[in-house]
Amino acid sequence: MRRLTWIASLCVLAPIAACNGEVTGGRGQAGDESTIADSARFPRLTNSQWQSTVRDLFYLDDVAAISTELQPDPPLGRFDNNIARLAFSAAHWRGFQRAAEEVAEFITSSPALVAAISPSDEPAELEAAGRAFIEHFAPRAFRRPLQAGELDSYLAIFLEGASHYPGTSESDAGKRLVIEALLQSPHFLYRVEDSESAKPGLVSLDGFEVASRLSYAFWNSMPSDELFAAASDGSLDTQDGVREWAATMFEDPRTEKQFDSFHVQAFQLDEYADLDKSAELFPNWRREIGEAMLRESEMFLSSEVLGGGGIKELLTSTKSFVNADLAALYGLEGDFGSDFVEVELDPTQRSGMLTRLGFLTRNATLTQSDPIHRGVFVNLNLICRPLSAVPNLPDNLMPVGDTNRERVNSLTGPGTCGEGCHATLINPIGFSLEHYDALGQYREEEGGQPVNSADVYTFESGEQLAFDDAIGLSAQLASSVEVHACYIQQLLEYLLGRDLEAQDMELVAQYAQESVDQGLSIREIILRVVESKSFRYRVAQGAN
Amino acid sequence: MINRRRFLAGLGGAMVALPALESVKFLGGRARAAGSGKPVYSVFIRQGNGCQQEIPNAEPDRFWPAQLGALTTDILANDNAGQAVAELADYASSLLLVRGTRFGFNAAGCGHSGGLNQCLTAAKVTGDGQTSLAGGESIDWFLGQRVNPVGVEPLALMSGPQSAYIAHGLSYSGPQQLRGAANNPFAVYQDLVGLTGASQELLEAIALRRKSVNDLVRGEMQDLLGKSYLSAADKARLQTHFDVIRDIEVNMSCQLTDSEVMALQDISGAAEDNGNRMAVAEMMMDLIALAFSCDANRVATLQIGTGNDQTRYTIDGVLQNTYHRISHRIDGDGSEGAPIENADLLHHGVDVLHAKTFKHLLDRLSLYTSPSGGTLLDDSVALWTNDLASGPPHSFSNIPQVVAGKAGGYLKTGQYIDAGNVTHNKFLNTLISAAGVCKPDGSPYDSFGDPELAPGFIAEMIA
Repeated sequence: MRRLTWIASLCVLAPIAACNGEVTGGRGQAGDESTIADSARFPRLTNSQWQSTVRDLFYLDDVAAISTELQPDPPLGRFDNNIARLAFSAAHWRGFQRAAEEVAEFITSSPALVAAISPSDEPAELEAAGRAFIEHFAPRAFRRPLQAGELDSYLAIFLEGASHYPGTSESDAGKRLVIEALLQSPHFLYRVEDSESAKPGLVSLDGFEVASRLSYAFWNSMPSDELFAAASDGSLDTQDGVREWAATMFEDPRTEKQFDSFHVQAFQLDEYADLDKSAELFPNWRREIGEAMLRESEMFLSSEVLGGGGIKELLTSTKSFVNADLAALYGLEGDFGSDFVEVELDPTQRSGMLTRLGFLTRNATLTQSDPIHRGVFVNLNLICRPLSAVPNLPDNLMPVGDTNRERVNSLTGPGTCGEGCHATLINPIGFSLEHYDALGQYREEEGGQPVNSADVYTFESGEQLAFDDAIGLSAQLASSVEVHACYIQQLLEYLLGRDLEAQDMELVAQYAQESVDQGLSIREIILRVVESKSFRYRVAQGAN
Repeated sequence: MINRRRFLAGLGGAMVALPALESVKFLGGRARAAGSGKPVYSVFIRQGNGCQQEIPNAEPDRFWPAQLGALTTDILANDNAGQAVAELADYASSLLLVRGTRFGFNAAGCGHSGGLNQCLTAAKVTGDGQTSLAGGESIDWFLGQRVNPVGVEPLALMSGPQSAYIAHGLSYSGPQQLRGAANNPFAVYQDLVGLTGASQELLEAIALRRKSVNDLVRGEMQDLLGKSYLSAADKARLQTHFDVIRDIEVNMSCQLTDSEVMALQDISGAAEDNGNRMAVAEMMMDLIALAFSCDANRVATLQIGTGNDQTRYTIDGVLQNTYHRISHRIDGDGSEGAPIENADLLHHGVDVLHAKTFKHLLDRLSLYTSPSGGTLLDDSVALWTNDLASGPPHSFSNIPQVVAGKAGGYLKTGQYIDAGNVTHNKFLNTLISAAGVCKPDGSPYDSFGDPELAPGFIAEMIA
């Protein structure tokens, strides 16, 4: 499926009572995870993981010098690392082959780049040099120590290099061919989880496999030398060790980019960068303002994740990052330029992500706010409540009314054929946001009348939220276990790189309840995920 | 990730660091048998959001010719001036317009997902809206498995962003097996040209080097495939990878001119931009024609715009509202929104743009001479289709099916026919036969798509 939409009731399963002996006291109650969901043993690197891995493998600043564009993957699953997307085709193979050859040529054309990946005490004799190079470099490419026979296989390739690249030194020729081969190896292209168990049950991933799970979850790239060392010395063999290491990974700047990407994909933030508005009504609109809205949303959301905020803060915080364009739309006074600066927004007008410019502008027409799409987004992406797809519509629907709310109600409100979905699920949330126009600017009046943003939303459980406006709605959503479960569900999908199964949803339900009751930070939730068995083990095939 | 200078530098001489397209010589007999005779090339172009055809008591028809029957340039250009298909008047004798086909299965909620997933598969659609997927392979994959050599997959291309509501969904390699679609024409060209320009000596040297690497990789993959407790999904993934590794390097005998390649490069960083939608579509068509002309591939799909094409097209010099909203006739993607003035005419304007773009493909196919002496278009089947029939109702009945090319003489072109409200699997079956894939006894193919659909073909399409 392209997009997983779990029934909301699954998200509020009763908390799991038992916990096994491995759980340590302080943070407690990690659930017994007596069974975990199956996972692929050979997830392919995504195209972006390939790029960042090559960057880090060769200690490059970026991979702009590499011209090859890899074959795009189909849009299956919610996130780009979903295993459903990572199929293989002839076009993939040609792309990886071409890219490997190009990287090898690029690296070996620069003595400095070759030196960066070679041992400092490389022997002079060719075979010994090749052996030393492979022992030094190949484990980083494979993200694990070499296994029996691999050194000899790659040494043979190294020694063959000179016959293929007669114009260069024998050593560089050998290294070039070895790089070509390593980058086409399944041990590079896949995150191979090779540990096996002869008996049904859970298989404990070894330190290097855990290191790769951590590094791709936090950095979208290969482990650092320090993380390799932790894998090697057994630091990642325990639950506490994994947690301890993961906690340090938040300090790496790549982690912020990774959670930027998470939020962009979870909330479709990239759509903000390509928005048009009516030139007649909004003559100052420029596409670049939408790009700034995207950046604001990324910075806000990642700052909460990295700064110790919780899911509640995503919906209630007034912290923002603005440049001059956004400050004007928020009605902020002061001197602002092209750089983004942190500000506090007016708490009577703004509360968390639902009241941010990008979301409001994306979910608007060229001229007017769009309560239906705002309401649909919140149901699908914040509450994870499935909605039936848009039915084929009757012809020539003509809205009636002076205000936007009246017109939407005339077509979809009580007494219309849209009553079932719109009047109780979609429109109430959309109407709460009627204080914000097509650019997200705050307004007291619309259609010549004071804005009416009050309504009632009914959860699937029957629980009702009554609110006067988006500030009140956001405050209540911030305490809703459904909303916490929805965010955590997506986070788990992203960290595990796959759709969730019933076993995963038990964890989601547990973390959601704890997030609401204990005010867990998102950092803490992430740490609980990576220390869970779902992250550190895999199912032995045939066990389930 | 594109480094333009680096690629251009390679154009003057041998392009060495680059890929293999081991397909070009398959006229020599390596292609899987697909009937007898000369090859037929199949290309499927998809427009979204329906066309502006008649909606009783609401909108007149501005798409089809007024009369069924023979088509001539005069009939299209003069008798039907202003209709969308009149843009194709120059190709009247090569056209086969087919009305009266419909999708066999209802939409699962959203008409766009139901239509896009069905239009080349004739399969049931699972899921709902954004989660929807086709329950069977698409015609391009079906044909590719039969008329291309092993390892040459049909080109799956699109013009539009990769990230959107139902970003793409045209080509399937099996049930729920959606294929990725490339949307950067320069990257597609890179992949196509491979080692074009390299000397035979250099090609042999590269082949030797690659074989060494391939042998090593194959050995590693065999070791992995031999692991115990491998899940079926893991095994299938690795096996596919193993199977697509090839050693044979074949030089493609044709390429675009330097100026054309530079145009591809210039647009590569902005291939998804709204303003480049049709320019990218035309470049993809150039690449499809190039691949056909070299016999490097015999099948291709091109999806123009995303699932509910949100492109803002320029009509009469004015950048218009999104095409999806125009197709609903209101300034909104659902049921509410202010009416868009003259939306039916704007929708017709979009149809005309797509007709002109389809004509670009026909022009391009006509530039190449086929081995049999005619043009490449004569040996091709080019389909311009849609995943909906019309705008506001988003109907599945009377899908606009515009075929061009004689398929080597198999199709009876130069006519406009009514298939009689049949499910469109029969239409696709006929195109399959036109591409050279018939039943073992030589009779037309009749069973593509979901087995619940009545089998058959459209005899009136066949010469």
